Amino acid sequence: MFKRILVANRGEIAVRIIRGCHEMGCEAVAVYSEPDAEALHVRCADTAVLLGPAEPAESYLNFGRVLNAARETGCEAVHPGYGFLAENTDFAKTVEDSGFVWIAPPPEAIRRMGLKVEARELARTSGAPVIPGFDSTDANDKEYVRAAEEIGWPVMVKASAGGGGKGMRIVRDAEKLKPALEAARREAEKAFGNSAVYLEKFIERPRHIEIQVLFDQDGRGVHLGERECSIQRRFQKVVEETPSPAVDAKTRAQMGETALAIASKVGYVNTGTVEFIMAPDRTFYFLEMNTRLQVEHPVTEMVYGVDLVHEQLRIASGEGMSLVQGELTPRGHSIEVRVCAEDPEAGFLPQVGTVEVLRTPPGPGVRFDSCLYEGWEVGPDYDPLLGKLVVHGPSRGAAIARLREALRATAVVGLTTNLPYLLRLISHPAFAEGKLHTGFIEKHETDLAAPKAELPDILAAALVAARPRTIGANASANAGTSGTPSPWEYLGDWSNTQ
Amino acid sequence: MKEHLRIDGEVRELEVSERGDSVLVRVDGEIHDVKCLKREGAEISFRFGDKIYRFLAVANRRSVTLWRDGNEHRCERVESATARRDEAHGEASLTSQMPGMVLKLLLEPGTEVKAGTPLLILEAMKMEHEVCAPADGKLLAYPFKSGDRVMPGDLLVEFEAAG
Repeated sequence: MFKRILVANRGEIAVRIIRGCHEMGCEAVAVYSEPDAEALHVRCADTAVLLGPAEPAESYLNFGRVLNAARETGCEAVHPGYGFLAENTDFAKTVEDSGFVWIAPPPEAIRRMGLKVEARELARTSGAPVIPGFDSTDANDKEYVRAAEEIGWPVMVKASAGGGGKGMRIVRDAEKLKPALEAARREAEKAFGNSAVYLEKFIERPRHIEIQVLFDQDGRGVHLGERECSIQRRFQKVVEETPSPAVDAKTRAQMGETALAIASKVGYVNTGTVEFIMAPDRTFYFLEMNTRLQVEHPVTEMVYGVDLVHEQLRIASGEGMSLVQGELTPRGHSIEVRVCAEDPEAGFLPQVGTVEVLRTPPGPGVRFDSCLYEGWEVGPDYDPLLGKLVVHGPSRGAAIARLREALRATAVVGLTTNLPYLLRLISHPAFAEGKLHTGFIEKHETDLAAPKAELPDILAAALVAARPRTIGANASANAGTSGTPSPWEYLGDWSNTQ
Repeated sequence: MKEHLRIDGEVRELEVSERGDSVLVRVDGEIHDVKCLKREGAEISFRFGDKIYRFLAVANRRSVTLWRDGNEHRCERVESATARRDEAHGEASLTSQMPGMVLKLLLEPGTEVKAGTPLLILEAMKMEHEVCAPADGKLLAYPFKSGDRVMPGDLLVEFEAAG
C-alpha cells in the first residue's frame, strides 16, 4: 500500500478521498488555491500545498504545480477525484511519466472513452446497443440539419469531449438547431477546449441508468449493479439511487455483462461507470463511459457494503481488489441527493455566502459527504456542489422515509441551498411511485415550486423572537425616542451582534 | 410603527408592541400574543398560541432566513410602496443574483417580447444562464455589454412590462 497520496482536487470529493486514504493507512496531501486556504479538504489532510490563484488554470488544472506539490511532499501516487484533471489524458500520462502511480484508469482508456464518438464506435464493436445518431463532428450546419431530419426530431446536440451536462441541448425542430449548435460549441470550447459536437436521437421520457465497474490490473472485472440517475435538471443529476425501480435481476446481469464487455475493449483498470439510456419499453442503449470515480458512487457503496476508494487504492498499489463477482449481492436500497449552493426560486442560480449554521442529519443509515463547516465561505469560483446526503434502508419506501427525515433535520443556513427543494422533490408522490424519467423535474415543475408563505403569523413571530433583547430586558428602553421600535430595528441590532 | 415585510415572497404588514413579558405582534391586522422563551446563537424558541415553535434564524445584510424542519423562509424588509409595485412587475428577476459575466445580448433594445423570451445569457460558475422576460413587454436597454463583469444586485436588462 502507498505511504503518501496526493489528492488533486477540492470540495466534498477531496474530503471523501482523504478519509479513504486515512482509513487505508495512507497519508493524504491536499492541494488548494488561494480562496481555498481554509477549505475543509485542507484541514483534513496531513499536509497541504498552495497551488496558486483561484483560476483553475493557475491552480487545480495546472499540471506543473500539481506535480511539483506531489514531488515536494514525497507522494507516490496521485488521486484525481472527479472533474478538474480526472479525465485529462495528457495529465494522466504526465503523472505516470513522472514516476507517480495514477489512481484512476489508464490514460489511453480515458482518451478513447472521452471522445464520445469514438466511445460509441467502441461500444458498437463490443456488441452493445448504441443510440442512433450522426457521428460526424465537423459537418456544416446544413449537413447537421439533414442528419437530424434523417434521425428524426427531437435530437440531442452533444459535445464530443463532453461531460457534466455541458455542451448539451435538446432540439425539436430545424429552426432551433443552429442556435443550439452554436451554444453547445461555445460551452464545449470553454469547458473542454474542444468545440466538436455530434447528434444523437433524443429518446423521449428515458431513464438514465448506469453500471459501476471495477477492474484489477490483470484485467479481471466486476460490476456493482446499477444506479438510476433519472432525476436531472439541465442534464445535471439531482437524485441518484440503487437499485433502480425499473431494473430486475435479469436486466441487471445483462447490463452488467454489456458494461464489462465495453470496458474490457479498452483494457480498463480501476473504477468506471458505463452509462445507459433506458427507453420506456425498457430497452437500453449505451450512452457513454465515465472514466472516473463518480459523484454518486456512495449509493453503490451503501447497498454493496464496499468502499470504492479503498478498492481504488488496492488496485492501483498492485495489492488487488478484494471483490469477487459471485460474492457481490446488493442489500436494501440507497438514495442520494446533491446539495448545492443554488437558489431554486431564482432559476437555480449559483449562490455565494457563509455557512452560519450547519446541522448534519443524525440517525442510522445516513451519510453526509460534504465540504461544509460553520464559518466556511462559499465563493463564486467553483462548482456549486456542497455535498451529498445519502441514506440506506431495507426497501425503497424505507429509504425515502429516511431521506425525508434526514432532509428535515439538515440545516445549512446563511447561504441559499437547494435543501428545501430536495425535500419537496423526494416527497413527490410520483417519486414514491418510481415513475422516473429525465423529464421528471420539468413535468412536475409546478408541484416542486416553493409554496406560498403558509404561516406568515408564525414567521413574523419568529422574527420578533429573534431580536436580541426579547428575554430578560426591557426592549423598548433601547428603542430610542420613537416609542415602539420597528422589528427591523431589533433585527438590525441583532445582526450587528453576529 | 408599521412595517412592511416580504415573507416568502408575499408582502405583509407587521406591527410590534410590548405587554409585560409578552410581545404583541400584529400581522395584516390580526393580533398575536408571542412569548419568547429562548435565544441562543441562531436558535430561538417562542410560544405562539398554545404551541411552542423552534427556529434557526440567521440575518444577512438585507434579509433574515428562518429555518424549521428542513424548510427555509426568507424575510426581507420592504422599503416603500413603490419598491413593492416595481418588484411585483418582476424587475427583481432581471437582477444578477451573483458575480458573473454577460456573455451575449440576444435582442435589439426596443424589441417587444412575450413573457419567457430569452433576453440575455449570463455566465456564472462556468455555466450559461438565460435571463428571460418576466412578462409580456418591451426590452428598453442593456446596461452592460457582452464581456462585462456583473455583481449581485446589478440590473441586467431594463424592461417595461406591458399594460
